[in-house]
Amino acid sequence: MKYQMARIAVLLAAVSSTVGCFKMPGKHNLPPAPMLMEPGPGVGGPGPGVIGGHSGMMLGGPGGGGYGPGCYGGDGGMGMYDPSMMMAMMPRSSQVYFVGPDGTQVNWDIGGGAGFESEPLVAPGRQNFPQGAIYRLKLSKIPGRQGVELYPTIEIAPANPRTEAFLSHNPIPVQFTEEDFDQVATSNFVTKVIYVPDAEFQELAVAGVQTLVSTRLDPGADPIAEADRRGSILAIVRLGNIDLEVPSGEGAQVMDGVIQQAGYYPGGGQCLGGPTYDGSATYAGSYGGPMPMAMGAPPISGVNVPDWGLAYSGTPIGLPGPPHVPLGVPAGLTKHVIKNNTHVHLPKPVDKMHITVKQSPGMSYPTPPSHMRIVERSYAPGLRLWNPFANKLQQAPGGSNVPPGVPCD
Amino acid sequence: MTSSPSSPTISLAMRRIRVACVPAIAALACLAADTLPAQQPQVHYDHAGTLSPGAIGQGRLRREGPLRGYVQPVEIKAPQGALISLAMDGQFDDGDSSTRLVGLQISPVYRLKVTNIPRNAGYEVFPTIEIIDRLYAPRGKETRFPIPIELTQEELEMALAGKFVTRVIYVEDTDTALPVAQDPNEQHWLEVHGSDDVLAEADKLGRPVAILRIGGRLPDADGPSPEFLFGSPGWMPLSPPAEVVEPAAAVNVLPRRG
Repeated sequence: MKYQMARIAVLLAAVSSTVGCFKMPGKHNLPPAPMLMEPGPGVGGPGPGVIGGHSGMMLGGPGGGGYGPGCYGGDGGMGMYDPSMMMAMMPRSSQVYFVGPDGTQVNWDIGGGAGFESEPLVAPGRQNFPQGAIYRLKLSKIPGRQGVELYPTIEIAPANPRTEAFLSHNPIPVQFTEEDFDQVATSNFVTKVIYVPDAEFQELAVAGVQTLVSTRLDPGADPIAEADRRGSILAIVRLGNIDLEVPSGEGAQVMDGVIQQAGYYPGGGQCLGGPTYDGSATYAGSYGGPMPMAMGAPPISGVNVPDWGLAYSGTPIGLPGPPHVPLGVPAGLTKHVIKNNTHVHLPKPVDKMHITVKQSPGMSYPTPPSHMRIVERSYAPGLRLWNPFANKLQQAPGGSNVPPGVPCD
Repeated sequence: MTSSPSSPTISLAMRRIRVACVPAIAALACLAADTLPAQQPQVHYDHAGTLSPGAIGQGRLRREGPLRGYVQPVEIKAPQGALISLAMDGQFDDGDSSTRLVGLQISPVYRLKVTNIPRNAGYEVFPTIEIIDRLYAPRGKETRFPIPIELTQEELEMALAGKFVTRVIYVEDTDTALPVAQDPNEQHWLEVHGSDDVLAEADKLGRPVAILRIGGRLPDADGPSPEFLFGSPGWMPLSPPAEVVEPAAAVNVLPRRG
């Protein structure tokens, strides 16, 4: 009997393994990463979902009653004025406080070309920068370093619920130290991350920012990851010794009127510290400057977003190829055979999906009360306590001058 | 095959003991599990004091209550000699005193300007006030019982040093309030640890009604932007209540009849 059960078990295992081999390929291949990123069927485009709307515009909540000094309404139904709705439509900016060294001149690009034509800001000084962008700065007239000009970038992180209160009340302090300049002079790359530490890293409820410098960390340690672990990142300063104003150098971007950004990530901070791309020359051209996503501009194909919906392959298998053959003469081809030898294993979509979720630690709420018993007791004190006589006669001016008990005329 | 006559009896007894142990063990397990909820906090907050300015007030408005449209009198006090200005129509008004009595609505964020700070002449601080609940003063005496919001010298100097201070003003719980007379010109305060939520701590002690945030951010050089002023929500200037006449004096000044 025992041997018979063992035989059956071995047989079942063999069958199951064989069936599994027939059903499942030995290796899975995914489409290329760019194709996976596109929601459309193999080509770039918004796909059936289209680009989402601007939910940030609807954060206002219930509209407040229209009111003003001396004229305020009752329950809000008019919705004449809603500061939160107005705030959602405003571009968000962070104030950067260049602490020092004292006397250092800070410039940034405002007019395009290869210059940094902004009004020189002498440290200590402040400047507002729109969030969610990278800006190229120019440091000059550094005390004790005559002739040295540096071109750091500052990446302003978008505000999140953790940092929004801080950013709306405090500037981001940025300080370049002598150690930073020494590191740069020896061709080292310095990354400074300014962040608000989380509560467990604070000693008091008074919030203050902290700075992580790459040169003070262990070799190989990522200051951005470390700062992100400790709190919420406000800004990242990257400092090297590149000279952007050599005659054939790569200058700043070509726009006019506003501060020019050196990089741009449209996702609004999700790729903070990760790869960014230089999109200002392509995307912001029609707008004349950087356009943080908080502004909520509608995406226009070919204007502020890439050309969507244009198939870039002429073959139906997703590989580049000629749309018709031969080229350069009137179309005479009547038959075009393409044989696709690609191994394809595309399983059918499942018709039923089970998702098991578990949150750890779980939630445990107190049992709501279902019964209330109120007992009111009044004790008659043995001693009769009167209201003080002074309180009885207390009155405010402006009314009748007749005290209580005196008959009126 | 021989067997002891007592063996079946012992075996049966052991089995009964085992059977009886099962519910006992289950009951002990239930008791042990029942102690877990008691270790958890009794109040579960779905917000934190570090939320964006205006978020807590908006959440409060979404709950029921006579809050929307109500103008809550607020008395803002600064150190002696300092001047307080409030934003109106995109700019600050002329601050002429260190104490302002104004009517503010619940949820909007109001930006202040404090100038002429003692020992810090030439520096300015721009705190914000967010009203998150109201008081229920006797009808007609609302201005006599405003929400007191005090800007202390220490906190203003901390803001000038780049710190960010959050102060939550709450109405004391009558069951836990200290039965000690307080100076109406001085506001008691408690400092919480950084790992604690200041709003939750205030909620334990009473009913939070306002949040004061003080930092060192300054407006643009060409004037405050709408973003900086949080849209310049409207407010209402209020007159201080009439002074209460002491009873003895009132009696003395009245003409005698007869």
